[in-house]
Amino acid sequence: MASLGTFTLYATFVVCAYAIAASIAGARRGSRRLIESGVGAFYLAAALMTLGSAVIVHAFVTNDYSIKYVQRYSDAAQPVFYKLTSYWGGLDGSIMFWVFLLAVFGALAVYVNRDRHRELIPYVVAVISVVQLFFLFLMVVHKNPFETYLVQTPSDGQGLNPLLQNIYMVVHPPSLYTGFVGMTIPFAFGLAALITGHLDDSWLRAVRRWTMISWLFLSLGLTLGMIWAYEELGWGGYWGWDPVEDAGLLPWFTASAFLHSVIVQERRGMLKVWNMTLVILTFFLTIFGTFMTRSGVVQSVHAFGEDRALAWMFTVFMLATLVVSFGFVIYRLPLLKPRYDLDSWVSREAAFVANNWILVMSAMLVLLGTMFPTISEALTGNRLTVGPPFFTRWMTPIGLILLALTGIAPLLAWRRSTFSNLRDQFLWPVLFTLIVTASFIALGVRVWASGICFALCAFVFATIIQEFVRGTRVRKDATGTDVLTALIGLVMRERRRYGGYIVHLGITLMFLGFAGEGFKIDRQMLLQQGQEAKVGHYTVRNNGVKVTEDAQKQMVTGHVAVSEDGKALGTMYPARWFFRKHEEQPTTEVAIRRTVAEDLYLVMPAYELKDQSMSLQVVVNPLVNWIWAGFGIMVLGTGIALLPERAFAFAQARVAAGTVVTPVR
Amino acid sequence: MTGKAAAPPDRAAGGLHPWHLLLVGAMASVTAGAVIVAGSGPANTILVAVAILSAVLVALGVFRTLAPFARTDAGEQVEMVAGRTRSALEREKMLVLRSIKEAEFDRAMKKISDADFQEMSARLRQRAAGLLRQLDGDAGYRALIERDLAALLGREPGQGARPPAAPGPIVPHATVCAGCRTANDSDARYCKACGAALTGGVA
Repeated sequence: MASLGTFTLYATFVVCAYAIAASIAGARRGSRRLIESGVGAFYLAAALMTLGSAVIVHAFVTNDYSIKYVQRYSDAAQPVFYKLTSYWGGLDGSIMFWVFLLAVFGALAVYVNRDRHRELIPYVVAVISVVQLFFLFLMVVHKNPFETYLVQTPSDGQGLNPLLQNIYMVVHPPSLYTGFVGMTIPFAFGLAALITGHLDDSWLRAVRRWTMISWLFLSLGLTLGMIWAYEELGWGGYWGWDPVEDAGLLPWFTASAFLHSVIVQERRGMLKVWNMTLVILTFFLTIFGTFMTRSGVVQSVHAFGEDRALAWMFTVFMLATLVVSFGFVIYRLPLLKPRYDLDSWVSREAAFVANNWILVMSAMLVLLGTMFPTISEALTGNRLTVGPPFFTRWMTPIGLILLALTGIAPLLAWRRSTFSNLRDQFLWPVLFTLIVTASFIALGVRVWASGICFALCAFVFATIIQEFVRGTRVRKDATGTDVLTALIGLVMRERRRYGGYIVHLGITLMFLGFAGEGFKIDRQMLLQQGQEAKVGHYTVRNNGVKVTEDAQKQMVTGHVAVSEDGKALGTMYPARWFFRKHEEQPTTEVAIRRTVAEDLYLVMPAYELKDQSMSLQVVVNPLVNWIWAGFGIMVLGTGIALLPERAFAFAQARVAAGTVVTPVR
Repeated sequence: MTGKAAAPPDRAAGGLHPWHLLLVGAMASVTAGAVIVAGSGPANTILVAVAILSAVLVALGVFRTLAPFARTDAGEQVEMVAGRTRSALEREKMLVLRSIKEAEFDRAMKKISDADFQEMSARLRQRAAGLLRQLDGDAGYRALIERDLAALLGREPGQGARPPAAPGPIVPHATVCAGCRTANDSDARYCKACGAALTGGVA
């Protein structure tokens, strides 16, 4: 089986090289045969990678320990489910999984666009194939996941890292990878547009959806990572500004910026160079993120370890990407002139520009903070870390400004807004914000960052509601339908705008959750058996420590009785699990009691079986669940923005008899 | 991604095609694979089936890569620019029309002042009219369709076809209805909102 796997990798490498050559030659000579053959080879690469993936997963399920990678990341006792996910549990496999996803995603994108963007397709195929070729090259020369033991085959595997044996860890990497590889598609179309010189906005239309889908997966990956950190790592929080988390966040920032600025180019023909830059930057950052996690240039809880050779290969590839793509941007600058200029700074396009600057600035800041240890080591020889306080200090105000813009921008008109319009638009939201702020001050909220955040959330919430209410009213009057039909018609006529508002609503809820961090209570204590302690309005009581075991692990579970203001809430079970092959690295099993207002979060860092005492970390996390709920709403909004043209046609078609309509679309 | 697409539509109704054989072959090999590994657990069986199916996909991919060279039909030269300028114009027209809608909606939402709206709307309408004239003018779809129609009906091209309207003078401002103050297209004769005959505006 292993040789079949290795063969598929080699074959894919050759096929990708052929796809590049055939498509470029075909496009240069105008030969349809060559182009079609190149596209065929591109599909073939996807099929080959599927075959290779099937082979490696099969090796995992059948415990084929002659393959080194299988032996290192799996064992016989592991449930089948986690054997499947061991595929992306290690470095070699994760690179292969990456290529597999890219091949499938790319084949899908090319297949969908095969007729619509004829002139771009050969170059799109070539660009994606070059990226695949690079990762295949890594595997072929350096990290072959199908490498076998030449002499003795071990009888059992070493097992997957127990931290990764968690349902969120099963879904988190694939969704993050999908988000990452998905960003290659806009890059490929952008570069194809640059190469061919077809720089009107047709390439933007081709990539809009793909960017949105990738953005959604990236968001999903980040959120799942947060949930995983919250439930599995057991330090009481969900985001620690770990380099690998940052790696996922960087392209998220630039992709969000792109999703906004693309609207400006579509509507006003402005920001063409900027959009191209954002697409290139986003792609670069996905590769850079992969580089950071896999080459060992940063130290992190879940980096894969140091690897000099890999670091060099990545560096060369990244430099080549930057030079080639920005070279083309400069070469095509004459074609990228804006159609209009900015009319006024009090306009929606100006707000979009501001939003873009802030998002890109956030990306640069996070990048700086993440790379600071590496940079300082290179310059001074000392590894200086900046740590979470740096990020919190800088990102809090930036996040708040961004939140404020989320509220302000929808109230501004395209081109320019006058004073009386502004008054009319801002009256209700500002009033609502003032009332909310006053009531918070009256309630005694004195944490400034959280207080401002609450006020801004109220503001954004009010503007979104106002947009929906006024829009519905206007549409109701114009079409003469009932309120509900008018509302659906409104949302469906401008799916992206109103879907976007719903995404904003989700973001606002997430910000509410982040602001809750300001009221967090975090206590460490040592409890003898039967001893009680009071944290916030909760009382915890140590009812003893018990030991149990199953085939894979030994479990030490603390029994903690919890009551709130004297009312008993039941027993919670924080635990430590010792996996057989990783006993030096026990996992922390957190006990969480979730409510809408706050989470009670118990961790048992240490225990003494002799006298049944335990040290206990009690964390009260207010508003945390709003983050997850906000993410759900974000998915809903993105879904609406992605809906196909003809959905909900009934609400769009209902126009009062006799009304004259301008045929648009 | 299947060879089906390559078959001409009139033959697709019946008969045996190469891809039928491929399908049968795929089914047979999956069945054979499942029989060979029978008794080794469902996970193994499923994965063997998946592996065989992806091998079939590989075969299809090889076919797709090589088939274009075997074709003898015309179309060696790809038309890279056909319809490009026209589609760009149409796109721009759609954009302008949508901007008009957008401006109307923004005014109804009270985001822009009436004065700004009038000015903006006039400019956009003028732009739209210009684009429409450009699209209707020089040998567009209409001429093409008429020529094809004429060829089909066996008539001389141009016979019975009306020549495209000569471009009118460019009117710099929109016509505002005296009754309801609605901005109408510059060449409108009746108000689109209230139906009153338009008097002023057109010079």
